[in-house]
Amino acid sequence: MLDVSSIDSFYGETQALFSVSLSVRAGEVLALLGANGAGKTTVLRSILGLTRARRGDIRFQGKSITASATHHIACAGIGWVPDDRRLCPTLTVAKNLSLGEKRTAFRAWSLGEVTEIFTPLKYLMAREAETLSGGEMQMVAIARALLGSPGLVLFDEPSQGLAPKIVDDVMAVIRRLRQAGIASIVVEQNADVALGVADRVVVLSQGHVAWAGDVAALTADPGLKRKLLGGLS
Amino acid sequence: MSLLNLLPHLLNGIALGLLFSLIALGFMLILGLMEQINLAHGSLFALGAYFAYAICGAKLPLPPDVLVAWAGVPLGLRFATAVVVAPILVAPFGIVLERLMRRTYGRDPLYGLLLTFGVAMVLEELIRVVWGTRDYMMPVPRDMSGGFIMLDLIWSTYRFWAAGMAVVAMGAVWFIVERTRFGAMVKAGAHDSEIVQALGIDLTRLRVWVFVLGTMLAAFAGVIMAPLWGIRPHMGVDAVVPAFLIIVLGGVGSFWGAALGGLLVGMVVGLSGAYASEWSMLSMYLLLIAVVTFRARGLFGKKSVLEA
Repeated sequence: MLDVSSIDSFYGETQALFSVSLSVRAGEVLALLGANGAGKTTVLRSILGLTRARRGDIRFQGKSITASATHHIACAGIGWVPDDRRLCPTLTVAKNLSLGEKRTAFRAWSLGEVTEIFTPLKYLMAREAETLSGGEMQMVAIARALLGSPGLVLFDEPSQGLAPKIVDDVMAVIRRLRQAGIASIVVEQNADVALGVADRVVVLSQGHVAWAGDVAALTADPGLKRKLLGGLS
Repeated sequence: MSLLNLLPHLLNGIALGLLFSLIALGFMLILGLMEQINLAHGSLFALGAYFAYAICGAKLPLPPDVLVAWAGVPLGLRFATAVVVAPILVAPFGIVLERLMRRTYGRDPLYGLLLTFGVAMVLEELIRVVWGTRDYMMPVPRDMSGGFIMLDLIWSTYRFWAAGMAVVAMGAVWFIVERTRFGAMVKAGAHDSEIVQALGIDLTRLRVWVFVLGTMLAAFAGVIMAPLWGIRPHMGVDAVVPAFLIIVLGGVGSFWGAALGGLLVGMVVGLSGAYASEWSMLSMYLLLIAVVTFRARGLFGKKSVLEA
């Protein structure tokens, strides 16, 4: 579904990614792990075209999106749940959700289906986004991404600042998306949370891919896990 | 001077304030989404007035027989046509200006300021080339002109019409901004342009539409204002300065701030004009200083792009 091949990305003249490659299959959950500043968010931004990859290629559903405009990439079926949710604070929840609505080649989600997953949203529709709690904002951000009918959702630090119960709910949603055939890339500081939901793992270190493989292979080797993710569990 | 004698000045001020608000709203839409101050907004306002004069006064570049036939059309219909068509004719100027401004997005606002200042100068000179330097008076239909007596005072009929048209246009802007998905996109785009694009919204196209809307509002205000102010090449400067002042006064990004700011400025200008006409323009700057001294973000402002 998504193939990232040897991309180099920069912020100004500072290189943030060095020949990073990864791939995601339909319905697969890929955990993207690494320390602060490893380049995880930059990978997501490069896929979305927000931080352009100067070298390498990014293909989605077989088509190159390396040079595509961000809105074209989104319309191709890539959704984004940013780490700080990035809702429009002065708009109501209903308006924020309506901004995400679009049709793609993938399964369309109705507002009814989304509010069935996130039941509290039914009662929050008229509230302005700036009045929501962190967990409520995360619900809106995920719901907004789903209403965009994605084939792949990029989750950036979905557990950040949330209570453990809400983190469990978010991970349950990612599992539900997998059952619906929707792929996810989950960027996480909390490795155990990500490994609990992922099929495969890519570990980044200082902009390089340090390790890539199945979750089972990583968890079966405590020494390797400690070496790669020492401070992240 | 009795309170009753002040009433016409107050109502004239309200009418003026509503028109200022209209200009300020177009100015603010562009400032909000593009984060650039469009100094050419006043020139677009002036173009609206000149195009309206050309339509209403049958001064169009058309074959003589067509022009004669158009001049024979009742003035009321020509005026109505001007109100609708002049803003549409000015819209392409806004599209070209937006295209020129693209290189300034996301950069120091000074670039946009200099560019739009240059465009304002070009448009003003263009007006002088086409229409000359003399002043024109916009013809107004008989039913809308003249005055009437109420409470033993003489009232200008056209000011009521102008205020009514401004209220209708402001209502339309409020509906678009507050009640439509387009309005939500504009607000979201003004807050966070990246997320809007990542949701699949074409920001480039959105900016063009916002510029078209802002330009048409300026031109519409120019059409309505023309019979009150007269038409002259530098009338845009007379409009853009109060518009900018109203946005700062009302708070950047606030519809109601622009509406209330416009009304306040209009009333202060109107009332001070009743006592000391030479103070009427100075009074609005004093009002701005008074409000901004106690509330830097303006009356309804949240965190503004100017504070970034």
